[in-house]
Amino acid sequence: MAINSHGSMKRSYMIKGFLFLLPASLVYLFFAVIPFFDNLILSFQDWNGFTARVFSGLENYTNAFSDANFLLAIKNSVYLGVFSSIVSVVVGVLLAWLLLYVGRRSGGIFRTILFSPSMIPAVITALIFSFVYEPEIGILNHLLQLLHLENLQAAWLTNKSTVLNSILFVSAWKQVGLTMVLCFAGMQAISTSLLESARLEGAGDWTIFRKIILPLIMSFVQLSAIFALMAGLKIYDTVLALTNGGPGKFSVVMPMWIMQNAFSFNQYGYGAAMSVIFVLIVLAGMLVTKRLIKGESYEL
Amino acid sequence: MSSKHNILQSNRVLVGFSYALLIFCAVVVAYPILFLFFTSLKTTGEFFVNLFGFPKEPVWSNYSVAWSTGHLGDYFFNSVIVTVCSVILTTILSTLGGYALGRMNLPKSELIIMIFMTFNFIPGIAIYISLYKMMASVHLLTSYAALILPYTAWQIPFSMYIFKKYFETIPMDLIESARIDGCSEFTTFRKIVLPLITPAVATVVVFTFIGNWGELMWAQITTASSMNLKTLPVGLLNFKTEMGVEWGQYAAGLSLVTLPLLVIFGYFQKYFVAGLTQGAVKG
Repeated sequence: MAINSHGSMKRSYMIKGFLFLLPASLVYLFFAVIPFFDNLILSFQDWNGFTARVFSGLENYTNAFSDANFLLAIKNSVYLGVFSSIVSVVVGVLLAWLLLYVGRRSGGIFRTILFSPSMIPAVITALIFSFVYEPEIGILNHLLQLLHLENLQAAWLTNKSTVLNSILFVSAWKQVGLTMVLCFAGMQAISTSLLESARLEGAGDWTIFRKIILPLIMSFVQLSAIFALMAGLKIYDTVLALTNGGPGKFSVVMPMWIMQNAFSFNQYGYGAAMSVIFVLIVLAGMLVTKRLIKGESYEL
Repeated sequence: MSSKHNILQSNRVLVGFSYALLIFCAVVVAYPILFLFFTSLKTTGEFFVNLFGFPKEPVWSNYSVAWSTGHLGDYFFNSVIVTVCSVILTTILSTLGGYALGRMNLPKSELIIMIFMTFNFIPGIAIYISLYKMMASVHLLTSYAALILPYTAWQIPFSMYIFKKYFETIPMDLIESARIDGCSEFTTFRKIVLPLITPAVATVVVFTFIGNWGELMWAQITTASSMNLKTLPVGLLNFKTEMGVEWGQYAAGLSLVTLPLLVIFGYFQKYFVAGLTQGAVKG
C-alpha cells in the first residue's frame, strides 16, 4: 500500500514534470527542431522560394562539391576554426598560468581587461578593427612606421597574403580572454596542498605546470578548445564587417556563401544542402577535438 | 595556510615575466577600445594629426550628431525591446524546464538535456532558411515576434542546462517536505526553490543578453525587408556608409554602443564566467 501510493505520487510528479518542460520544448521545437528537419528535406529539393518545391535527388550536393567558392569557403572556415582554437588555447592557457604569479588584485584587473572583448558584439569588435587595419589612417600601419618597420606595412584586408590572418587575429583577440578565464577557474579548483608538496619535493615551475596543473585542467582546456573551434568555424559577423568576403571572394566563409545563395540568389535548396554539409563539418570538428583533448575528470 | 599564489610566487624571474606579458596582452586588448573612445572625442582634423593620443579638446558633440544622423536611437530601441523580451521569456521557460529535468523525477532527463545541447551546436544557417520561409508564410516577419520568438528558443538549451545543474544542488529533502506539507508543485517551485537560484538566474540573464544583443545573421535576414525592425548590429553595419568619413562621429556611434556594455558587464562578469564554468564541470 505504502509503496503503491509512493509510486503513484512519483507518477503524478512525472506528469507535472512533463507539463513544466512542455512550454520550453514546444518553443524549441517550432523555432529550431522543425526548421532544421525541414532544411534537411529542402537540401534534396530545388526551390526558388516561390514555386513548388521539387525533389532533385543529390543534385544540390553534387553541385556543392563542384562549386569553387563553396570549397574555398570550407577551406577558410576550417582554417579560421582550427587556428583560432590553437592560438586561443595556447595563449589562453599560458596567460591563465601566469595569472597565478601576479598579485590577486592585479590578477583581477588583468582578467577583467582580457575578458572584455567577449562582452562586445562581434560586429563592433570587427568595426573597431577596421580602424586598426585601414591602410592609410589605420593604427597598425602608423605603429609600424613609428617603429621604423615600414617594410612590414600592408593593406591588411585587401591583400591576399594577409587578409585571412588579419581576420584570425581579431577572432583570437576576442577568444583568448574566454579561454584564459575558463582555464584559470580550473586552476583555482586545484588543491593548494598538492602544489605545496610538489614544491617541497623540489619541482620547478615548469614541471608543476606540465605534470600537475595542465593534466588537472584538461576538461576546461577541452571545453575552451571546442568553444573557440565553434566560434571560428561559424565565424560570420567578423568577416562580414571586416572584408565582406573580399578581396573578390578570397576570404568568403561558409555561412556567408550559404546566406548569399539562399537569400540573394534565391537558391534555397542549394543553400540548404550546403548548410547540411556545414553541420556535418561542425559536428566532425567537435568530435575530433573531444578525441584530441581528452578531458578526464580527476578527483580534486 | 599559504595560498597557491604564495607557493608559486617564490620564483621572482617568472613573476616579473608574468607581469610583463600580461601587461603587454592587456594593452593589445584594451588599446583598440581606448582608441575608439579617444577618436570619438576628436574632430576629423585632429584625428589625422593626433592619431594615437587623447584628444586635446574633447568634442562631445560627436555623440549627439552620431545619435541623430545615424538613426542609432531607432536601432537602440529595437534592440532593447527584442533583447529584453527574449531574455525574460527564455528565463521563464528554462527555469520551469530545468526544474522539471533536475527535480521532478522525469525519466531520461540526462538524455533530454543532451539532445537539447547537441542541437545547440548546429550552425544557425541550417535553421534560418526554412524558418524564414515558415515565418513568412504565417506573416510573422514584420513584427518584433520575428526576432523575439526565435531568440527565446535558441537560448533555451544552454539556459535550461544551467538551471538543471543548479536545481540539482538544492536538497531533495527541502522540496519533499514542502510537497508533504501540501504545497502544490508550482507553489513549491515559486516559494521554496526559486528564491534559492538567484545566482543561476543572473548567469542566464547575462548570458542570453549578450548573445541576443549582438546577434547579426538572423536579424539581417528578417529585417532585410522590414527596415523599421533593424537592431543595433544590423544598423551599425550600415552606419559607416551613413557617416561618410567623419571618423570622430563614426567612432562616437560605436562607443555609444560599446561603453555601456563594458560598464554593465564588467560588473556582472563573474556571473558570465560562472555560467561558462558550469558547462565545464560536466566536460
